[in-house]
Amino acid sequence: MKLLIVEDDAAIVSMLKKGLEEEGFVVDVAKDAEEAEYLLDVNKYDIMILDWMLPNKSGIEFLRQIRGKGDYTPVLLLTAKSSTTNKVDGLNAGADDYLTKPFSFDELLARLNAIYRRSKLQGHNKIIIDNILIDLDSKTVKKDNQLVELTAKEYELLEFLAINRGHIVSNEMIQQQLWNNEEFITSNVIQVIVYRLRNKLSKQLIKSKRNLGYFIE
Amino acid sequence: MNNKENLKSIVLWWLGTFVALLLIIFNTIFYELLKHSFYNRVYNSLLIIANDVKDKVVFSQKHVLIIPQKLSYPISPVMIGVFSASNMKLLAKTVTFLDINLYPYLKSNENFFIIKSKKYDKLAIYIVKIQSPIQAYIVVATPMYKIDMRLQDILIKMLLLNPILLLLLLIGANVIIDRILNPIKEIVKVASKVNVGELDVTIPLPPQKDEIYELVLAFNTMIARLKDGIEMIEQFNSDVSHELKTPLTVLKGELEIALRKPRNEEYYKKTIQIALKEVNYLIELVEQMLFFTKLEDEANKKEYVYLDDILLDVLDKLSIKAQNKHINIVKIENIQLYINPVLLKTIFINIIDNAIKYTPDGKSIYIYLYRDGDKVVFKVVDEGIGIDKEELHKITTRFYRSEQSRSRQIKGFGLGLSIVKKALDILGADIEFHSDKLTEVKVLFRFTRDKL
Repeated sequence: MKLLIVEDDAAIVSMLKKGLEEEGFVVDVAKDAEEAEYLLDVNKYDIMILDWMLPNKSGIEFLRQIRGKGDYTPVLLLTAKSSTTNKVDGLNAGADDYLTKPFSFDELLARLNAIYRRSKLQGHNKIIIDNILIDLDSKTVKKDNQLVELTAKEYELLEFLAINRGHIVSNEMIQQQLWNNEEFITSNVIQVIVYRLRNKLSKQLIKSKRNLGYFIE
Repeated sequence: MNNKENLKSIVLWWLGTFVALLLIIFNTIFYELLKHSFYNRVYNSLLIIANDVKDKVVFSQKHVLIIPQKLSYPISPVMIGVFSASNMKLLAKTVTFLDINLYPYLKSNENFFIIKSKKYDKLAIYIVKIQSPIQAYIVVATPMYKIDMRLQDILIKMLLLNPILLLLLLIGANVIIDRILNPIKEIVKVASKVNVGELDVTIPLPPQKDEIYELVLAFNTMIARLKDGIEMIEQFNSDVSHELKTPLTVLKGELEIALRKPRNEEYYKKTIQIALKEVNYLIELVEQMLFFTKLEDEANKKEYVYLDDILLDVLDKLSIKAQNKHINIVKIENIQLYINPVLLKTIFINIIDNAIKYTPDGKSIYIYLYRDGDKVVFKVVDEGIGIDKEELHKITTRFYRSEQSRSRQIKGFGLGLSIVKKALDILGADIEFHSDKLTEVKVLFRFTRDKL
């Protein structure tokens, strides 16, 4: 899952990035609305974690602005403002969820997963392809009811392909989804991951289309 | 509610008592005057009759004393008797004249008496001495019962009417008091509705500009001021909680993440370091907030201090922070003021510290302290990041931090200049900010020479 964190406090950013990356999230960071706008233009994010109080342009203003432009990236508003009025204002501005600081990290993870389920899988938390079961909440994969050990990147790629089942996913899309803005990958990393997934799960699961990308039928 | 009822009954009680006393005194005086006037009329009538009789007493041919029997007198009945001056014997009388012992009265020098009698209860008598036809006393008498009855009648009417009068007065007063108290009831009704969450109430102003009008006006302005005050407190609370929540979020997040999985020693050490940094930040924040409230206590502790000494002392303390910046003391004069040293120091520290914080390494800060007419000027000019013109008026607000300072990730609470502002308010000094290419903060202390 690829996240964009828009937050001006360096200590909070560092904590969130560290914790979320450890959980297998791919995290990009923007210090203000301007930077976030640029990143939203060039990348696609599964969820944006947005702080309310930002320098120059407030998070809520920014949210209204992107919703007005037709950007429907799911947004989790993360803020110190905790009154009901604030929550109502935040959700009405276009936020999908609202979490007040200080928050429990487990709750943040659960909410991110819930938003993801709602936006990608109409609320389901499991994807079944033939004899393979992907559990999106626990981020585990079972083949014939047997747990299959996958690395974070392997799981991310499998989930990405499963969610986009029936559609070809290009190398660029995979690169954007699995790595953050500051990382550069060597050309055959994706190929290696696909090779490993085929070995661990099934040779027939992931199909290649030369020069176009990969897909699951 | 109870107190208001009491106020009304107290007023009615005092009014009633006062009016009742007044009525008693007035009626007693009135009754006595009336009685006096009635008796006076009797006296005058008897005097006239006596003098009339005096001329008409004659001896008949049989040497019998004759008194006119049927004279028309202003009062009736009138009894007349003539007593010998030598032996006090009754010489002649009208038919109705009573046989009373008049001896003591005849001997007296007075000539008008009210005496007791069995038949008439009370008699008014008037005695006049005549020389002819013989030496004798003419006694003219009239019973008092008619007058007494009239007086009694008046007394009964007064006793009946006065309580009614008092009652009517109290009823009237009751209505008037209610009228006066009604707007107050309205105020009480609104006042009891006033709550922290409900400050949008106002009492409609009465049409007449009387004391109640002023009360309502004062009450309405009080609510408005309360509302402003509470809004300020709410803003402050929201600011404080925001300032507290940011470090708490980092603390909670870092600790939770550290506990999610087994970590190596290095990881724990780093997490503890981060946590400690946030805790120190929280401590500093709490201390600054406490300091803010303590400023007031300093207001009255004044002494003679040398401003230049304090300034140099402050600069010495801040020198470690300003290591990579150039601090230039452009002008420093020897100045003594009668002022609170703690507040003064606070002002110096915060303004200079601010300048150091927002001035990049290698740039300069210029400091001035000098007399200008009847003022003392303390001025700090820096080559720092500056403040936007639109933001200048906001910088002394608590927790306000300019966009510039936020986006540059300079640590701070935004309390420094608001502390300065408060200290300056207490000292009665002015502050001016100018931001162009250079940022200039100018503090003007007013002082009068007689204080020195």
